[in-house]
Amino acid sequence: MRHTIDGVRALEASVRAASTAGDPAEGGGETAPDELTQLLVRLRVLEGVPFEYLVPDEELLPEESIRFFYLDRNWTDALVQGVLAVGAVSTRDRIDVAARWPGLRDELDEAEHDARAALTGAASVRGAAETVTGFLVRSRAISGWPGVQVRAYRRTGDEEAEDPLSGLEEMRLLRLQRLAPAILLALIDGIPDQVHLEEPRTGIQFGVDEGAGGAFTVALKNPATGERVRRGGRDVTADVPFRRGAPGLVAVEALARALLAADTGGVLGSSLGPAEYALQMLQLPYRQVFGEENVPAPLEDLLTVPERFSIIELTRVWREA
Amino acid sequence: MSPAPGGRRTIVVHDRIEPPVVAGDYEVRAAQTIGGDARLGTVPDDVRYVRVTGPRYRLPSTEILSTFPPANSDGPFVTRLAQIALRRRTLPWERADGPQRPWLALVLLTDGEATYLPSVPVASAVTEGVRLTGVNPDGPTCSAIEVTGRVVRQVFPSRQELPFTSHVREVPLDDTELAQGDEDGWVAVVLSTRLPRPGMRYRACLISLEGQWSELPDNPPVENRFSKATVYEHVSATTIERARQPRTDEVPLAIGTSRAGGADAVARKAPAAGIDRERIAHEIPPASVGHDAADAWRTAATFTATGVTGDATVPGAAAAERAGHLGVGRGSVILDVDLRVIDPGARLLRFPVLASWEFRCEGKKDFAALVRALDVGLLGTAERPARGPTDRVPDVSDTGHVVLAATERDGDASLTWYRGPLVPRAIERRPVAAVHVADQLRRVAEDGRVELGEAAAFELGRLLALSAPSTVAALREWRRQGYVRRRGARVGGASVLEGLLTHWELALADGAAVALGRRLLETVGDSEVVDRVLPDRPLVDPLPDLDVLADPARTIATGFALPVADVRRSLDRGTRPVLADGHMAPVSAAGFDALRRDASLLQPLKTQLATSVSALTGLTRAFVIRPGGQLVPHGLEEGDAEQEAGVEAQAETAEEAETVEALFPGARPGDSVPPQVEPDPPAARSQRRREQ
Repeated sequence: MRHTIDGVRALEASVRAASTAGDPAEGGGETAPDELTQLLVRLRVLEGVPFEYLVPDEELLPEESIRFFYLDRNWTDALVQGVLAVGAVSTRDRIDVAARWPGLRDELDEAEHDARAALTGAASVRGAAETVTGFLVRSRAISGWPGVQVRAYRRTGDEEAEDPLSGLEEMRLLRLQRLAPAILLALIDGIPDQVHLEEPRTGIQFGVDEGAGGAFTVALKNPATGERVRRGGRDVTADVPFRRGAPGLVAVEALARALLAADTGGVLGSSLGPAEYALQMLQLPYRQVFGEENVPAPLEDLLTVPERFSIIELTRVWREA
Repeated sequence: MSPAPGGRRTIVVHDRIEPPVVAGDYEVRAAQTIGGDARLGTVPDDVRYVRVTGPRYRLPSTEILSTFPPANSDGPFVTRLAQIALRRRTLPWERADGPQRPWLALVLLTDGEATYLPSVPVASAVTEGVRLTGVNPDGPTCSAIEVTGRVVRQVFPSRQELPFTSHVREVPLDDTELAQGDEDGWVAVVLSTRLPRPGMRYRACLISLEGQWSELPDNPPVENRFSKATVYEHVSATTIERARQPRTDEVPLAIGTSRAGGADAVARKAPAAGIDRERIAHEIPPASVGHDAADAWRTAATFTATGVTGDATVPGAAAAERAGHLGVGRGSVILDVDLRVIDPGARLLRFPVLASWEFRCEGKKDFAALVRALDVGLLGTAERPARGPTDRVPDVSDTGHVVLAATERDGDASLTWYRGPLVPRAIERRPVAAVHVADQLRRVAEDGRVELGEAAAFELGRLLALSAPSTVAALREWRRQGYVRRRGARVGGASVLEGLLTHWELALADGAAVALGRRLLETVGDSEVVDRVLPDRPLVDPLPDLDVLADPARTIATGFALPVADVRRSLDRGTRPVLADGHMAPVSAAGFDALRRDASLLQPLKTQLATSVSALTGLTRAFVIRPGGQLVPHGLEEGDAEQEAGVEAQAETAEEAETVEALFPGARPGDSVPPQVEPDPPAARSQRRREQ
């Protein structure tokens, strides 16, 4: 009887001990230090990975091309585990690494969403890992226009008339960096429906449109909205007149008259002032849209052996034999 | 505007923002009259003088918000009008003759159309005969351009066009892309009217028209197409070359005297006046001056040869200005012609330049054309050209693997598969599995080649970590903290068990104790608490369990089924234990002969022995702890004399199995521990080591 009572007492003590000894706050915590997490997240978005590891052969990314891709999580996991393996020399260390790896992987999955948040000031997002996709561009458009805008969208609703951006939700970029003057790498947090590549908006540009055969035109724009006036499914334009005998001088006054003449819809009013003229000459940045096409369905990763058939599997086979 | 992130923004464009007063000296006179009675006297006028100033000959660079095309940029600007954005919204009208006559204009000038004078006295920055009155807030010198009347007629905006070239833009300040750091969001913009041509280099000059507005062309005629690229297209290239400004006599002070000594060409003696020019003519230009300057040096020789020396034709002051500038090799490379040579007899006009920059118009393809022409595809695919050599195209599999040449560890050259992190198809992520060496990730493909993608990634991670000492330090610290924390938990758990064992006098081996402790704790606490006290992960302790030796008497007594007291007494006194008949029951009852005839008589003894051995092996930790804490002894169905040795080996195997389990979760042999001792334990162990 006495034994039983003491046993209960001992158990009570043990529960007390357990509730304090196992407290993460006291024991240094299960989570990895922030510094380490940040470092590994940067690795996960391939920062510091030499370019040859990303594109092993030049033919995979020829000149003037854009190549979309999925990010292979197994590859990045291996990369991170390589980091963790540093200094793990004894069996005890390896047990430690093995014990921590699942938790750390989940932690990195969560932190990964914010890989670029510090740069863009976006709000922090948590949650399980998404499928990461992205693209590489190699083009003179990258070297000639530093600061190309990249946006990725996921379709959440139908497109409304007149607004191509309706029903689209902008997605987070995990990385957007020029790896070389002509090569741009973008990583997107999820699978986008549309990717937009937009001319950098270095201020506002003014100019004319170059039509077929080298003729220059100016599209008539509505001063109230800045949008092009369309008639019969085509932009209303005016040919650009030039000063006679001069090297490419736009005859501004004549152009203003030509625009007024072209304006049969009456968007301009009776006269054209400097402000309206500037608006007519405004050149919006060009935007190229990729996507909304049939993406190839996920395929079994059938190199030659099943993806899961690794040395671990071999171990099991050997043991059971 | 295209929508900025976060919704649409609006910009407002205004025709002009005129200042309430334009620059100049003003008299402010305050007069007061007292009505009614004249005898009250008069109040004298209060007169104050006010001077309104603003930039006149120079523009501080802080006043400029941006330029397009950017300074010194190359690009296909064929359809773009150059522009300059000024922070001060009223600037283009501050010295204007009227609202229709802003005093600033942006002109594009290309090679051979003007002479750029980077530093002239302000009085000579305007055309001869023009005199600007009023204060000069900008210091004694400024830059200027010298052009002919023909250039003004063909390149400068006309009187009618001038008002169109300036406007004011009001942008929302929160749109950083548009406001570009401006404080108030109001920006004055000056546009040029000239379209750049491909392959040409231009200097955009923001010039002051103050006092010279009447020089602008009036209602020039219009045509639909233009064909000219420069004003002096009809002038031959040799004439333009001849017109290049000589880098005159002051130059060699800055460049080349030290180098000249080594050159053979300058060895000959020459009159003092001529020596420098000749020296320059044969001097190889320094690399930093570049190609254009080299041309200029050569021209100097031509210049001398033809006898049209700078000193002879250029007025002294102007020559000095040019020399002073050109000698130090600053800036203007393209606007360095002497217009007197290109357009003899033309009237020359000068305009102050408040700001200027150069750009080059390159190529025909603009952003839209380039992006539209991009070849779209998936990374990890390579197309073989229908024609031409294909040896550059690598072997690519459907999965995105590429065949790469590699060198094996033994030095053999071979081909391996490689795939980077960027793949053409979605790939399923493998479940969590710890990896400790890169070789664990090597895979062999069906064709016998090795696949090294992930192994390379692992190795790369290792190398990247090792390249940064801070990373290594962070890893070590993290690991150390984990050990400390877990040790704390273990000590806590051990103290609990110690209490239990003291009270219940349980002499149990470590593994059994943990299992028992788990059972007990589960009766009071939830499983979470239990997990914290007794981690699921087996403790690995290389030291042998000493509990067996704690009480030898008990151990022996249990093993031989003898009374503990007898054994203890014997051990204490050094006497043999007394064997009672009961101990020897089978033998004494049946006799040895009978036992020899019928071996089955020994069966109870064997059973007893097996039980004892089983108990012993329990003490040497030969238990398997199943998940959930169930304590299961290894199956030892038959007693056997040789089994003791086997039990030892098995205990070790079990321990090792736990280690393996920790290293490779999931790779554990599981519950199917072979019932029999493995045939060749040392061999098995060595094999397992190899695979680790």
